[in-house]
Order: sequence, then C-alpha cells, then structure tokens
Amino acid sequence: MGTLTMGTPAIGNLTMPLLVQSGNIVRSLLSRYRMKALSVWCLSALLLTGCTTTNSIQQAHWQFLSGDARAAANTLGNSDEVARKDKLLYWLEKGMYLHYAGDYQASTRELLKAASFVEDSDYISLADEARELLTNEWASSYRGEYSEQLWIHSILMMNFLHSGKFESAAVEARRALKVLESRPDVLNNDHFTRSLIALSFEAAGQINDAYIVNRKLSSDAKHLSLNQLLFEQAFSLGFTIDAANLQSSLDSGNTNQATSSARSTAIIFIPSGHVPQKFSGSLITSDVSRLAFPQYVIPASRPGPYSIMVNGETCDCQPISSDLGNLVNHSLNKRGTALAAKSLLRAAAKDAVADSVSDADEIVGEITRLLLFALEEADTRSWRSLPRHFTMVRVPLPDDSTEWNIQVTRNRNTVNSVAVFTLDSRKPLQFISVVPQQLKSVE
Amino acid sequence: MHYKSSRPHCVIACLFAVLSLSISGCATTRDISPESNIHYDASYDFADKKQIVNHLSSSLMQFVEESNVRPTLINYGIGNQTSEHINTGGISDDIRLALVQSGRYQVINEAQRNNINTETDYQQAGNVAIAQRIQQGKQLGADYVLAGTLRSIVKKQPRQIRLTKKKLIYYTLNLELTDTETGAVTWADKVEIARESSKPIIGW
Repeated sequence: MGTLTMGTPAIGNLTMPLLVQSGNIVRSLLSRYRMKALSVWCLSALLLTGCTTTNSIQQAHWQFLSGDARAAANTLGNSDEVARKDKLLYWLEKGMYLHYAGDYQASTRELLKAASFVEDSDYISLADEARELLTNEWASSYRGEYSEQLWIHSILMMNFLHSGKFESAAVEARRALKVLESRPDVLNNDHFTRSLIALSFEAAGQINDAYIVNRKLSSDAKHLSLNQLLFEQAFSLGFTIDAANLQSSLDSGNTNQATSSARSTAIIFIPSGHVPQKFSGSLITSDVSRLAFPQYVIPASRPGPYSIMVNGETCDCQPISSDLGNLVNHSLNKRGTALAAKSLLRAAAKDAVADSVSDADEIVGEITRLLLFALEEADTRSWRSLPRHFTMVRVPLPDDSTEWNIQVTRNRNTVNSVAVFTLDSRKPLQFISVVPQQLKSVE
Repeated sequence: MHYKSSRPHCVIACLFAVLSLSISGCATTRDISPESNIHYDASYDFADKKQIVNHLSSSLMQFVEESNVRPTLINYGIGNQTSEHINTGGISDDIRLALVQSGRYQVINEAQRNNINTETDYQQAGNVAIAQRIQQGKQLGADYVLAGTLRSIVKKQPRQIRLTKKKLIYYTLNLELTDTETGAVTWADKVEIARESSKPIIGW
C-alpha cells in the first residue's frame, strides 16, 4: 500500500488505516488463488461493465445547448437501445427536452417512467455493488441525486398544470412532498418546488393542502409576498383567526399588494441558465493508485432580475426562485460519506488484486496496476438539461380586460431580453413557460 | 492433496451455478380469475377496485330498496386525492354499470351530452325527416348527484437496521348522493382498505 501524496490531511488520516485493513483482507483471500482470482475478476469486469450509451445523450445535449430541444429529444430515439444503467438519465434528459419543446404529454410519459425507476431502485443492488467494486461507479445504474429525484416531480407538476390535468398535478405534488420529507435538510431550500406543490393543490381545488404548504413556506422563507395569497386561502377555508392575523399584516403594509384578489391569475415559470456539471476529483494514494470522486464547482449566480408588464402596466409581482446548482451540490455532499467509503473499498480491492498478481509475476502485476489506475473514474453523470434557476411569478390579470398582453423582461448586464405572451381566456389560473429561446435581446 | 485440489473446483462450480441461475429464467403467461385477490405490492390494484365497486353499488341499491322509488342520478365522478395516478373513472364507470344493470336507478350519461347536442343540431338542421327527429326538452333531470373522493395515507417504516422495508397504505373511498333539490346528502358510505407490504433492502 502506498502513502497519500495528494489531498487533505483529514481525509488521509481517515483513509489510510481503513485502506490498509481492507487491502489486507482482500490480499489474504487472493493469496490462495492468485491467477485464478485475477481471471475471474477480469472476466467479471468485462461481463458486468456493459456498453456505454452516453454518446447519444452527449450529442442530444449539444443540440439542446444550440437551442433545438425537439431535435435533442429526437436524437435520443428509443429507450430500448439504452443500457439499464443509463435509463434514468435517458428519461430525465428526454423528458426535459420535450418539456422545453412544449410537448407536455410526451414529456410526462418519459418522466413518469423516470419516477417509477427511482421508486423501484430503492434497494441495495448486489449486481451494482459488484460492478462498482470491480470497475468504477459508471458501471452501476444511475439513480439521480436527491434534488434530481425531487425535480422529476417538479417538471411533472408543470407538465400537468400546462395540460389542464390539475388532479394529476396534485398527485405529483403529494409525491414531491414525500421526497421533500425524506430529505428536508437538503431540499427545504427548494422554494420554487414548494410553491409549485401549493399551486398544484390550489389548481386542483384542494385549498386546505395548498394553505398548509404555503403557510410552512411563508414561515420558513419569510416570503411576505405569500401573505395576500394566504389571507385569501384562510378566508375561503373559514380560518377566521388566521385570516384576521394575515389581514393585519397586510394592513400594516408589510406585504406586496400586487397579488390582490383577481378573477384570473397568470402563473409564469421562467428557467434560466444551465445547472453546473459534475467533474471528476482525484486523490492519489500511491504512485499508481488513486481514489476518484465526483464534485461540483458552483459559481455565484442569481436569477433574472425579471420585470413583468401586463397591458403596458408594470406588475409589482414578487418572484419565488430556486437555485438548482446549490441544491444538487448539497445533495451530492450529503452522499459524500457513502461515496468515500465505496471509493476506499474499491481502491483496497484493486490494490490487493495488483499486489497479488505482482507476487506471481512482477511485470504482469505492474500492467494490472496501471489498468486498474486507468479504470478508476468518478461518476460524473447528472441531469444536465436542468436550468440553473427556476423562477415562478404570480401575475394577477386586471378584471377590466378580456385580453392580456404580458411582457417578461430579463434585465442583465445592461442587455434586456424580452418575451411577449397574449392570454384571452378568463380561467382562474393560466400557465406560461418562458423557455430560454423565447427571450429575445432588445436594444 | 486430493482435498486441497478439489476446493477451487467447488468455488468455480458454485460461481457457475449462481451465474446460471441469475442469467436464466423463462417468461411465462397464465390466465387468472378477475375474482382472485392477488397483490404484488401495497398499492391500489384491480382487486381493490372490485371490492370498492361491489360494496358501494350494493349499498346504493339497498338505499332505494328501502325507499321503493327509481331515482334519476348523475355521476360527477370520484376525485383522486392519493399519491398515485389512479384512474378513478374506472370505479365510477363500474358503479354506474352495476346500477344500470340492477334497474333500480336511471343514470344520466353526462359524458355524452355534447354528442347528444351535436346529433340534435344535425337532425334539427333539416337532415332528418320531421317525423323521425328526436323531440327536444325530454331529457331527464337528475334527482341526485353522485360524487366521491379516494384518499390514501402512506406510512413507511422509519430508518433503522433491518433486512426489509415495510410500508402501510390506508385507502378510503367516500361516496355521497346529494339531493339536487334540497342540497342535502341523502346517502353516504365508504370503503376502507388497509394493507402492509414489505420488500427486501438487498436485491439483485
């Protein structure tokens, strides 16, 4: 076993005794069978790794980045051609491309498969663990970070709301709540999704559930803009004490009055930027042995800022946003201990295999060591088509009009990008998704 | 010597056996009775639907047996407030079927209203002989509105050292008949289904 030559001392102090102990156990097992064990290992590695299907996903991602979400979805073709280990990624990316392309029904089909896959994968797979131990994490099925698992339901909620299937949106809201409750320390900062959950309940007429979610969000995040909505919901539910308290806070002028009761409200969803990509970090433990682990670098970023105009009048609407970059980074960090333990075990197993072969034949042993070094690769798979930020704005539509011209402007670095929408029906809730391509730069 | 040399062979044989078992397996198809009570997991399935429909339709029939009338009702569906995408239209369709077949109720087909209007307009436009045209204003008015809600409560076993994960699901379907004249709920019943399932934490 080698010594640590790179990385933080804290990790080194922790990893060395574990690495030595695990290596000794594996080495003592291998010393009996040496070449036979190596042969079994090589054969198993070849059998279990499977083929990679990341090429089409990569090609589709380039098309998506160039602004053609529909072509990106078409490039992904049929899921039957995708290896099981990459199936989730395939459904996530395709579902998101179709969402951006406005094909909400097809997007829903893909994302429901993704949700079902995540639910069914809620166990320790011996096959996956064996593959990981013999090669690297790329060989096992991708199950998504916690925030990505939540976002399956977020995109589904938006798809159902756009399609007018409010009851199904509420079903997804309840599923999203379950995910949120399972990892509150990581996911509670996702204010956009929490607001979307409340909105889905509201659209389905389940005002009591909407009120509970909004109430929690308001107290956790101090979103004063929610007070008007909370007041209306408390009033309609007959919660007279809550309504009176909320009324007094509205009267004291602490809240935004723009969301005051209107017969029709437009809900605008605005994605912006691209979620940061995972990259591979390395920790060299000896001359030819290393640990690889995924990590993020999250650059500072903020959504918008956005300004909304309805029929030429500026709306004082308060947006609710989530930073998906920070959420996915927290999710990965939460898995850090488990990832480190797996990497250690894998390094010990590989080291012991190489040592064992070296005892029989030094040259073959060194070649094996090099191969194992090259095979160590961090799993940098992630849901890449997600935006960096998702923003929701509630825009009350003036009652004295029958047609509403809504202008969304992003003001960034003195460049204004504008998207214009027209609504002409008086439904209580109307939904608009502003895809990045719709925002056109103006002088 | 003999004992030592046979051990690696045993190991290889065991590996081969395990690999063979995991790789092999054959696809089968068989018919099962729609009356059978088979549950693969704790979630809602066709056996639950049958139980719900049987209980509520017989309860609805009992209600008219006592009053000795043949009321007209309109079905406004069953809301889904569970965390599963359950097509509750299947439940209300089967209840309607049972009520129609019993002859105790007249059921208005609300889903066909637009089609009826289209057909009426077509006939009244002069495409059909006057004697054969349907007479307007003869549709039935509903005495009752039938509507309900399906809800579920799901509890998972807390995180602890164990070999299986247990899940409890409690479903309840409430169904009501509301008198369209008075607005009063004149009949109500519910079906409850509680189920526990477990699945291993470790699998292949």
